[in-house]
Amino acid sequence: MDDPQHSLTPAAHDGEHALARMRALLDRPLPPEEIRANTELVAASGETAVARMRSILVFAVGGEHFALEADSTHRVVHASVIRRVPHRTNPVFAGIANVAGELTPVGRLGAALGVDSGPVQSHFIVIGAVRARWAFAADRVDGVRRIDASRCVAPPATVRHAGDGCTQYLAPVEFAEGERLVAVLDAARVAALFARSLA
Amino acid sequence: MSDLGGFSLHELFRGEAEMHAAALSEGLVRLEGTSDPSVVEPLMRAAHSIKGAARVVGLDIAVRLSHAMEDVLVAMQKGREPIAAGRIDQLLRGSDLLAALARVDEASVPAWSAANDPAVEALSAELRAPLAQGARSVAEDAPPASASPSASPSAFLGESPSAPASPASAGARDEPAPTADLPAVPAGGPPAPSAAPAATRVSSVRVTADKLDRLLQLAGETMLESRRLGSLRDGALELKGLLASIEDELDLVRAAVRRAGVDAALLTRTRALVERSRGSLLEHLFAVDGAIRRGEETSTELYHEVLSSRMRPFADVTAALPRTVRDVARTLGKEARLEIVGEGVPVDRDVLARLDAPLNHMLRNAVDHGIESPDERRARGKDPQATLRVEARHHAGMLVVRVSDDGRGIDLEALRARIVRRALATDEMVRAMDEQELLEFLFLPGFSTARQVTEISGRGVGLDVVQSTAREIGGTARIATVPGRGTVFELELPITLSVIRALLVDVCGEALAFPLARIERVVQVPAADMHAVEGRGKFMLEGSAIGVIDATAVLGLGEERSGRAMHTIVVLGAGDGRYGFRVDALAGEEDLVVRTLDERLGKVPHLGAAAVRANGEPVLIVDTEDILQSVRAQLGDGSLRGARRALDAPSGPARRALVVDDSATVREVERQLLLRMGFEVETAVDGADGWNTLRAGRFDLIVSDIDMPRMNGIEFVRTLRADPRFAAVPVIVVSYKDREEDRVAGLHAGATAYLTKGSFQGNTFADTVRELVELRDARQGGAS
Repeated sequence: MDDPQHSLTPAAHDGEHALARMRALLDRPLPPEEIRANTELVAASGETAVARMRSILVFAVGGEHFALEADSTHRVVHASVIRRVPHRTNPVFAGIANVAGELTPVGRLGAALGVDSGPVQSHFIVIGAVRARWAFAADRVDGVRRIDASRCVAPPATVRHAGDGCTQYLAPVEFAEGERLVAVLDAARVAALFARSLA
Repeated sequence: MSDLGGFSLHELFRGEAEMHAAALSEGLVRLEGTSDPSVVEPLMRAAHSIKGAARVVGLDIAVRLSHAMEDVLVAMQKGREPIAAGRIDQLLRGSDLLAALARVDEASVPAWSAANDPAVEALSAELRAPLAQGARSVAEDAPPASASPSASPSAFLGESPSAPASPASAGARDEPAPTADLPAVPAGGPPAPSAAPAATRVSSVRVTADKLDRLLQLAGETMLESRRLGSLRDGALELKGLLASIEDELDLVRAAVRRAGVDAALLTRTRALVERSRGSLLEHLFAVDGAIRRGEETSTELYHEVLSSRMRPFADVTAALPRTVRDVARTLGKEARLEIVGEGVPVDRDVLARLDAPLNHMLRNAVDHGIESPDERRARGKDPQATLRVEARHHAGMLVVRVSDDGRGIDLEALRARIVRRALATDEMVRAMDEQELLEFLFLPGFSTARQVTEISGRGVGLDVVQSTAREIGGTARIATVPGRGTVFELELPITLSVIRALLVDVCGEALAFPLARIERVVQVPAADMHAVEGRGKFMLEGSAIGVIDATAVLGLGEERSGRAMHTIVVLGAGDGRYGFRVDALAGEEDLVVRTLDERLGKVPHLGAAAVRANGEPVLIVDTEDILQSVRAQLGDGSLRGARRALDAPSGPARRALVVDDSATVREVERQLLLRMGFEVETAVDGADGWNTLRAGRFDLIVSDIDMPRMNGIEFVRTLRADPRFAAVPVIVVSYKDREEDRVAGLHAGATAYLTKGSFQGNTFADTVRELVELRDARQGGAS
């Protein structure tokens, strides 16, 4: 809210190019499933339809896909140098980084959730409120997707997915290779996991 | 309504009321001193502004009060009302009420209004009434609320004829006032004197500190981004080079084609095209270059402007001081004048904010204890009116604030006697103390040299604030005194907490910064000159051996690197206390804008702050004092003594005690006592030093002071108790502080016993030590 440019898709610098791409995006024919979804949306009574659609930010850490509700992400920026903090750095707390001028603690989501993650870091995803911000690195950011909440399912009771403790629900997300269920994480619980690493 | 820069309407009123009330208070004191009606006009405006602002937020109580005040000020300006001390008292009470209202948050306003309505009503009535002969003494002796209410109705009636004058006078304000109406104004005419202060007045707006910090961060980012544009230009230059080589290639191809006897016209056209693109690229580059340079210049200037907006003139914190001195002096029947020097000296607003309380306390103390009564001064051949001075100046990169008086000075003999009488130290000890050590006692809460406790500066209350504030922001406080001539308090503080010049080093791939002011020197030592002593490195510098410790190891960032041909060593400390700190590489000097470490990280050992480098990377700023303490603990006496102890081992290990106190005298007394009892004693100069020493050795007893710089005794005890290794070690706190709440705080933090320094006189200290250590031995014997 303090950032009107609040862009969840990076690479906004490429001015005209981006504009052209955006136009292309707007002009493209709608895929049939989207038309169907929108038709249902318009047909449904206003309240429920709006409540049913959610925006999530889909990203990958350690080769596995996760998502956060778009409302709970503060911003996405290109990854930069993480400075280790003597006597504090541990497997979950990576250090501090300069995120848009703000020195922000960086957590390792992979370590926090128990997923093996490599050294690849393309972007920082920033979560948490003012003064309680946390950044974590993602290998890849797939972007914001609209999902139908009615098709989301509760996380399974048995521990099958990494990060079950932080998972709010599983959402069906369309990838090039087909639809898959992606764990939508609770930003507050992720932040709490990071914070615990400093206690 | 929603966009007021994060302030609610009421907060805006509070800001405005606070500012104008301060201006009123300051101006009224000046007015009393000069009786110059030209001083009245800005006061009139201030009252008028509060009235307007109060109307906007519907604060009737403030409207009524400021209206009454404005009327009196208008009358004074017109010369219809003499500038009398009694009136000024009333007006000052009014501005106090307005200032108090400015401190009340919106939710509490109704309650405040209800509680203060009678006072405001009475004061408004007094202001409307003509000043009675005895009004002055009434104002002085009686609290505002008891101002005789029975006088109000008649006063109201008496005032009514002049009431209609107020709108008329408001209108008349624009016309040039007849000079005859203005007494005591030089023939030059009234506007001149009032023009001077008005010209220097700078309008200001209020911005939250958070907003300013964010602005600074964004300005820094803008500067970084514009520098990154420079690298885009480098890419374009590469393209230009590429085009030039295509031209060359085309020349070669054309020559070859010609040699083959084929028409090369097409190639010639192509070459011309490439040449034209290169030309146009060059032109374009020139334009881009200019734009980038301008962008860089502007963003750099923006950054520095935002940075300097944190600096405020020293005057910001002195505005209310003349009022304080006046009020205190009047209450005590003394005469004092305050001189302020260096009002324009720029100081970081964070430092300024911390200066308010210490300055107030020092001045109150000076008026109360420092200066004599007018009669006494006359008898000593001094001006009956004492002179207090508050001076600010920059000296050697520090802000020096001096508060001095020309009073009676501090009687060191009386001070010694008092210290002994209060059982804070033995007679022997106070004889051994130097002047500075003795004067330090004045900074103790509850300590006062005044025979009698007064309302004004209490029981020396406040002077401890002076010292603790100075220490908290990395400065020092000192007292100097000349009997019969006066006393000087001198604070040496950092000018800014926000920018430091730092040496950047690389340790295990991480960028660390050492404040340049804290570095003794940086040396490159060839491996051949580095000697291993007891497993630690040492090298010779100017004839003395300097112990070296590896940064990587101290900071716990990884494994020490071995097999270096050259060691890069940052030397910290001074004289015999110099130690070397081995780093991997130097990375240049830079001005860093200091940011506090994220509070979620807690107090990180060895680190003081963080910053963003010019290249956008984060950097951590080292707390050199803390590092030095660690180095001392690892290289200093501890390890040598440890070696000696190993030799004595057959005779059974001696009990070891750690003495932590910032006074050399007290340390020595405690050390002697403990040595006599058969202890091996190590000493530390403050809590942080103590904590480092404690972790480096084994101790059976800890004796600690409470009041110490860097880490005080309470924090020290709490810290060691949190560590399971030291949870059971007996801790005796020995402090000058003998109040019950201090005792409770000490024991609550985890001290086993709490003694006062007077306990050295009898056997209390020795008995307590014996009891605790034997108790512990017995318990351990039973457990094993």
